[in-house]
Amino acid sequence: MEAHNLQEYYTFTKGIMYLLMGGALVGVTLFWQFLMGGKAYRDENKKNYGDHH
Amino acid sequence: MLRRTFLGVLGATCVGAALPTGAEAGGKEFKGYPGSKGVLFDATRCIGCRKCEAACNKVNNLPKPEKPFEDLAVLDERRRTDAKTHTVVNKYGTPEHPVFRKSQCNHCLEPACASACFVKAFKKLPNGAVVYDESVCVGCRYCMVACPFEIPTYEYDEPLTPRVMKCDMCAPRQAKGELPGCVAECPKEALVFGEREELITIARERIRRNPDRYVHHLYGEDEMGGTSWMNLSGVPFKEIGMREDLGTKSAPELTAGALAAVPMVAGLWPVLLGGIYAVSKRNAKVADEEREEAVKNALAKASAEAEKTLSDALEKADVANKRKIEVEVKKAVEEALKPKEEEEAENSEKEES
Amino acid sequence: MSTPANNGPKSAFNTFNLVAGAILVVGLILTVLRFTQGIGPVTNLDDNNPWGIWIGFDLLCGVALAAGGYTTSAACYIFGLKRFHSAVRPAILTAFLGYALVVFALQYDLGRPWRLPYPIFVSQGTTSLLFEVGLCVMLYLTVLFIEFTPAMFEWLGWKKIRGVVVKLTLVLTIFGVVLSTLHQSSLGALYTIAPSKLHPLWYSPYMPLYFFVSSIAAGMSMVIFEGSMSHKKLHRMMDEEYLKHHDGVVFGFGKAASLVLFGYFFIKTMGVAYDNNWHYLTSGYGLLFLTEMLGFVALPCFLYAVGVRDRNLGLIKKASIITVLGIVFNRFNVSMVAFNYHLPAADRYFPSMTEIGISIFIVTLGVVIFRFITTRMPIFFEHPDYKGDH
Repeated sequence: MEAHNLQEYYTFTKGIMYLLMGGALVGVTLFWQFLMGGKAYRDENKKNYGDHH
Repeated sequence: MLRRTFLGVLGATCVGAALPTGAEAGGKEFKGYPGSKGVLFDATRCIGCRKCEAACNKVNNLPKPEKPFEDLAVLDERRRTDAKTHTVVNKYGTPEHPVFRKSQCNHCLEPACASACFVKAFKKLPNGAVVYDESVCVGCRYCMVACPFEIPTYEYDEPLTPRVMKCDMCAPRQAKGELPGCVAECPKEALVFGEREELITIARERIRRNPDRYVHHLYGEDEMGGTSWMNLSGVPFKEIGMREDLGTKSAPELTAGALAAVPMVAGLWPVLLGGIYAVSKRNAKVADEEREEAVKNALAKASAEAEKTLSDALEKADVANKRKIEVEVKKAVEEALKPKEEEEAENSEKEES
Repeated sequence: MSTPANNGPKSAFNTFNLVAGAILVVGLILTVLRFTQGIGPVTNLDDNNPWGIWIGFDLLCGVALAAGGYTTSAACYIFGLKRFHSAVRPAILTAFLGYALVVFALQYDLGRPWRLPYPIFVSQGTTSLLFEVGLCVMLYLTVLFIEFTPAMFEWLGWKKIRGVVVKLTLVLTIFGVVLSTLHQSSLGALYTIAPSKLHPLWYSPYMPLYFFVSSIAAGMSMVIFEGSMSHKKLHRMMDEEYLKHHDGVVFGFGKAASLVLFGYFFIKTMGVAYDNNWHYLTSGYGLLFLTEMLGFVALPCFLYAVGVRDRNLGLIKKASIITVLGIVFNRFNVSMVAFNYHLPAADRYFPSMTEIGISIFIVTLGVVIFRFITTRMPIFFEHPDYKGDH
């Protein structure tokens, strides 16, 4: 794309930015599921919690 | 007022998008359409005949005004462009030495109206004109808020199809190779139509040849990032109703900082908020576990103590004291279990809430 | 009082119904006038003043005061402050109604209201801050509606779909905060394009941040203010759960609002320093600015703090009213009083009776719908079928 003024250039780049923003919001939702959806984590050291006081 | 340095800062992300002067972005520089046209207005030549107003009215098929264009008494009151008038000439100065100034859309190189419009109804054409497309206009009038020259007007009295009205530098006439209406009618050549680059040269030449006649400034060369319609004057521009405090920063640059912060919020806020959520949830879980652990420890301790009391007692005991011991053990166990019950009760209460 | 029943005093509402009814009738007449005659004859808007109270009050104040939705749900679901749970539903409902009415009010102000979807679906003016506002408000209105639906589904008894929506709570809350951050700040950023028209004391490159931060204080103050109003008028609809946590919510938000106002006071001051605008403080506009800063930011900040320290509910409620008025004052200053400050007095704007009438009509409409919903759906009380289910 060839722009002759800042206004045209921004119209184009901001358009892509908005698409990316949509992608980021949908993406982060899916990625969150992926990140939090692993095997249930058992904390081996949890016996120690009471002893720190 | 000091010239502003625009830093767009938003939220904790603190995104700075400081832009250097000139229409630049990310090292890119934009010089506008090559060979784009413009108009040079010379206030020292204008005689206030209102022929440009009449021509504008005619070529744009605007409704006839109440008072005819020949009536120069109109000049005594301050007027601005409105929905039926794309250009007006105002009289300034003293009665002996009046100065006239024509105002219309200045056709910015980086139009504020276009930058503000959320439906792209405004467009800077390659020929220099800033034109308006009513077929998408929603009528929010943000263009009118944004325009530093107070040019766009609105058909407020139109209930169904109101339009934004402003000069379009006679873009349709230009397409046919004709001059803008006002330029064609000016009897004093106060208006010159041509390539913007050439107009700048002409203006500089006029100032050079008559340094006493002109204020040494070409209004519109840099104002708000530069305009296609430029002005020369013999008196300070402030005195002929033109603001000298607009600065050289164009509209897209003014909003660049705020716009730059937008995607950063969308990108980072979910990460930050998700993180806070995870931490607060984890803390709540740890607190729960700690409480459980504490309850368990208390129970273990209590039963150990109870056992100890029991065995101690047994050691000392003899058959004759057996009944007494049983009573004591029972008492000890009861006492030990009391805190457990209390804590459990507390625990279940918290879970309910 | 544990189970809500419509056994409250009915007579008190007859006056309410009468007044509200009268306002709605007048509002409808004005609506007809507006759409048959156009904007010109019914408003004092002109070419110099394209935005009046329909933008300055209905849009700017409406959106700021509806910020209680995202602040409350964020406090409860993201920051894990469970005691705010009973306040979430009223706040979400208020926010949803607030935004719906903002969009409704916009129909009056727009020249061609039926084209409102154009910026998103027909021609995207991506360089406009107003595009950002429009997009976010549309999305956020959707989010708020979905967040509100569980109450509706419980009322209707649609258990399955309610369960699905409840599972989305976290995602919706985070989206809500993202979208709110964006459009609250973009409303301030709208004015960054017009440095020559807005008085330097209010114009600042930090305006987006000011609008966002003040919206947090506005939202929390609105929750407190509205809670106390509802407490008086809708007590019969509240269950023990709501009433038990009510004071805790007030103190919690009072403390938070105080802290936010403290920060807001200083970032506003820093804005004056950033552009070296100190000398304007001695002018007439300076007096106005100082009134806003001292009377409507510093004062409620202090009152909130004292109220929280002394466990003084009455004082906190007073502080919330001052904060709410202060936000309205600020938005009026930015959009009208300090806007076009360079124009001669004759060219300045003052709203017409019709404009004021329509604004009152819209606020009344909001109160009536709020009452309709809260007296039917489980807003201030937990539905018996879903008790403790969160």
